[in-house]
Amino acid sequence: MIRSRELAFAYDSQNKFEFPDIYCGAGEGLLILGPSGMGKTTLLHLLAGLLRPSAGVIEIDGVDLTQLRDRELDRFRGANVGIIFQRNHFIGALSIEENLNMAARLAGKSVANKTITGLLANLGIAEKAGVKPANLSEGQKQRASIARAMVNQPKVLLADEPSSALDDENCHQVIDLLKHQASQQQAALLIVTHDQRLREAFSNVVQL
Amino acid sequence: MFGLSLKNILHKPLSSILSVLLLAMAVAVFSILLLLQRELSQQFNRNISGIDMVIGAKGSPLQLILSSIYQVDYPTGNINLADVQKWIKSPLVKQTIPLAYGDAYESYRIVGTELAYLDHFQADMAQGVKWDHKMEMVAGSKVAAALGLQIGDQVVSQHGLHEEGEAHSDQPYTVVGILKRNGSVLDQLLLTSVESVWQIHEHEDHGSSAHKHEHNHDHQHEHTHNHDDHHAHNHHHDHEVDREITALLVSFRNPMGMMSIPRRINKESVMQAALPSIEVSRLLGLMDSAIRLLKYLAVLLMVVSALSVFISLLNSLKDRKTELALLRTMGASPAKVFSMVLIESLLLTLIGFFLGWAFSRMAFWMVSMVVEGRFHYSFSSVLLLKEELFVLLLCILLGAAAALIPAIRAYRINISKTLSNA
Repeated sequence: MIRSRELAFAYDSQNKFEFPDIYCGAGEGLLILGPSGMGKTTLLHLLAGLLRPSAGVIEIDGVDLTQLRDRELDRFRGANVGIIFQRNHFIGALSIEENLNMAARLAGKSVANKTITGLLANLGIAEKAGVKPANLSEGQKQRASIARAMVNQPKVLLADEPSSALDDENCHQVIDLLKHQASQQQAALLIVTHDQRLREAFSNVVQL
Repeated sequence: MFGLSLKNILHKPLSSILSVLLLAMAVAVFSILLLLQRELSQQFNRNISGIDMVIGAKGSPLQLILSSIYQVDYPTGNINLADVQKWIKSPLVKQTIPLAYGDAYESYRIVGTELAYLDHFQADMAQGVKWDHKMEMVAGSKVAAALGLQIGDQVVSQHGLHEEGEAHSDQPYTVVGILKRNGSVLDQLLLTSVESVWQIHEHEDHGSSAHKHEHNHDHQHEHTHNHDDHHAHNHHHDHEVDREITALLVSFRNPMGMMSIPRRINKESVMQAALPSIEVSRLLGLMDSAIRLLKYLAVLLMVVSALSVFISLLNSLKDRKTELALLRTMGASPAKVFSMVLIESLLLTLIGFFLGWAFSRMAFWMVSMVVEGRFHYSFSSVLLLKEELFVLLLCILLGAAAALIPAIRAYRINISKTLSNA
């Protein structure tokens, strides 16, 4: 469950954002739609605790992120928030499996290898477990990103423009995959995008 | 974090290989210098102990010391035993040991001397006995091992200190004893009595008349005979024989001897007296300043390699900025990414140190092989010198210093901005 109230952020006096209140329950999905330059990524980073808001409250599972100290916020984010970035970043020196393991270790969780293998199989990239990220196709990378975001069974799954680089068919596949994973693990799924194709897939939509 | 640091290095080894090699070279140079310095001063001081003065033919005093004490350079020439005896009748003289060179076997020197020479180095017998009669020989441990000498073997010496010398095949030596290895020059020598060396050359020079000499122990007679002969032979022969020696090692009862006797010999005789302590400290002093200069150079090289580590870290960090931000989003604290960069740098410098250390041991081993082959001198090997711990510490400090700025950058990384721009 994630909730925000009266959220505001300012890069400087010219670039100020005020965001509508957001609510998304466990296992549900919420689409945040908006054109470029409206602060979509900023909102996502605020919700993930990567940025500190200038005003307002963000609550995940009853914990107010704005009240956490830096170190607590790092730990909380690692354990409770799964993020899928617009571009798929990995630790290049580690295999996919090791990347997932690292995400678990940094969150202070011990995740069994069986869980990781199962997750990768679920996403159809089980055979890529031992492969370095550079040797994966873009589609496989995105699936691996989803796997990494899910590995700690987060309360919130945040995705930044997950479909922008995909054709219609792959777009629907990825969204189905995200929705499926989120509802399976009872995570709140938030997607920020400008991609109008996603509108029909979500009943809850917030327009920026 | 340690595992990730190591994997980061291994992932792109080319970017750091230059800095590691640079550091390895610097460490190797430094270590070799340390080993060399230690080895030289040890070898020099071990063999010098108890010898206060060396009397020999005129020439370079350093050459006299090197040839008579360290058995490396060629002798300066021969001196007449009767002449030298006039100078050492002083009560200040505690002990004298004559050395007579001239022959070699398979390029190992044969030294005619007295049993006191063995006692001087506290030599123990590994097998057999010390020489008692003419033409009996005791072999140093390394010579015996290298040539496979056994008790009872006959050894035919060759004239001169080279292998090419003409053989004295009619008068072989008999090996009666083999010494235990004791780290002194004895290990590299074949030892016999002075009389044996004299006999070989008497025999050679006078052909059948040698028998006459052997039966004739009248000093006076022998001396005149020798004198007559001298003029006839000294043009085609390096060293005239009969009661000539190459050098006399002298130890004094008290330091007063060192003050007066050498000066008088050098002034009033045709011989020279050299003081090992002075010559060796002169030689070591010369080498020390050269070695010190090279050490500075090696330290400079280390600093340059640290700079190279710094640059390669900074470069790789630029490429990996998003990875660091990613680590932060996954819950890594700033301190964690800071330590990851630091560990990477320390790993690089430690790899460099150990590579350099291994390289120095290999190079030193090869040098000692060459030296042993050329001069019959061998070096001992040491696993880790005390000074090398200092080098290790220096490497760690340089590694930490090189990582400081990149690590601080990693610590302060702006996650949101880095990931939005990537």
